[in-house]
Amino acid sequence: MNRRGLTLPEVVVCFGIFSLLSLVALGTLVYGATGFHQVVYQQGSQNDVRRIMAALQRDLASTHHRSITVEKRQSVAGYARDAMALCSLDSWSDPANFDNYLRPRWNCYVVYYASREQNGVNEAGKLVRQVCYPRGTPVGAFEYATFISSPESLIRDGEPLQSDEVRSQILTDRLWKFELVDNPLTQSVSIRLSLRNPPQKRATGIERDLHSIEVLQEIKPANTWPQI
Amino acid sequence: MAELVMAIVLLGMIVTVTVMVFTRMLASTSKTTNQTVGLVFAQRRLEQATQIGPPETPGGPGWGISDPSEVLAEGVYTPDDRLQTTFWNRLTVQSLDERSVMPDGGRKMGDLYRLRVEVYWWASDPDNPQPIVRQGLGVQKVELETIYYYQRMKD
Repeated sequence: MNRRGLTLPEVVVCFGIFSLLSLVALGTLVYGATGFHQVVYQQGSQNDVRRIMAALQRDLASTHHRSITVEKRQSVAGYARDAMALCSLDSWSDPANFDNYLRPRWNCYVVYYASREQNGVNEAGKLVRQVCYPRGTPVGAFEYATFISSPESLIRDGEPLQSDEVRSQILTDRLWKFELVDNPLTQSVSIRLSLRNPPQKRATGIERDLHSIEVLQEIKPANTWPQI
Repeated sequence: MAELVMAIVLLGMIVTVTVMVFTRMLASTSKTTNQTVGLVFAQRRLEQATQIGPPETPGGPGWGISDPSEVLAEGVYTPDDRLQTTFWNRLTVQSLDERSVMPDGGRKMGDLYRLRVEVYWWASDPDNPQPIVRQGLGVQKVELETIYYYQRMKD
């Protein structure tokens, strides 16, 4: 048994090797954690895009083009944060929502809007879907009068409106651009949707470019009632 | 000394594997991001084509394209918010006329078509863009097709 102990150079070398190994292990851990966060954010954005496009596709395809109103808006930094209203049904599976000829009895309006506030480094806003049941005014396949005359009564930055008449649902809180163009000739709506994730910090402190996902879509309302 | 070498080798292997796993995971997520965007592009192209419909006369303009081999390019901010990625798309139309013939020889009610859209990105040559294959990621393209019936009375 060696009872001599360790010399100072041995201790120094030992500490040096230990520090080196710790650095490598820590670096790998940081790299892994950054990568993992990035993957989680990217997957989240993809899921958000798929979910939002499915909701827009469903609402737009089932409505009548005459009921669509597009409101052009911008954030402080100049990014498109548009809004849109269209007529719809609260339930497409309820027979009471159709007349004897299976024509829809439009009973609500659906409003999509992008809030104009800019949270965080990614200047993110919210995309909100609202279902509105206007009191005392019949819903037809016409434009939403309240949306045109006083949009601020429905659309607001920050927390969306919740009441008996308006039910709001936040679709994403990392919205970058939401641009809508109504095409009267083709009776369709063009959509540009961009989401942007917050930046990831590297060990060196330099922030990476912001990860974004952008899609373009064109949807044509397929319902013809009451304009057959 | 041998133990130390062994430990360093083991650590090196673990680090290499971890870095490889996360690099592969990032690359794979980047591909699925492009696939998601490409798929929406393809749906949009099909929607636009079916809105316009087939040519009125054989060989005339239809489906929103003047040349059947035309490749359209559009740039979107994916996955970088400062640099656009170009997505190329090509629409091919196949007439399925033999399947829309009335069995009793009566008048045809319309025409049947198969529309196929091919969307690809990171193409090698911008002048003659073709889908590419990346090692470990596979082919960088998505395809979407639909069967479209255009109602048109014919003798």
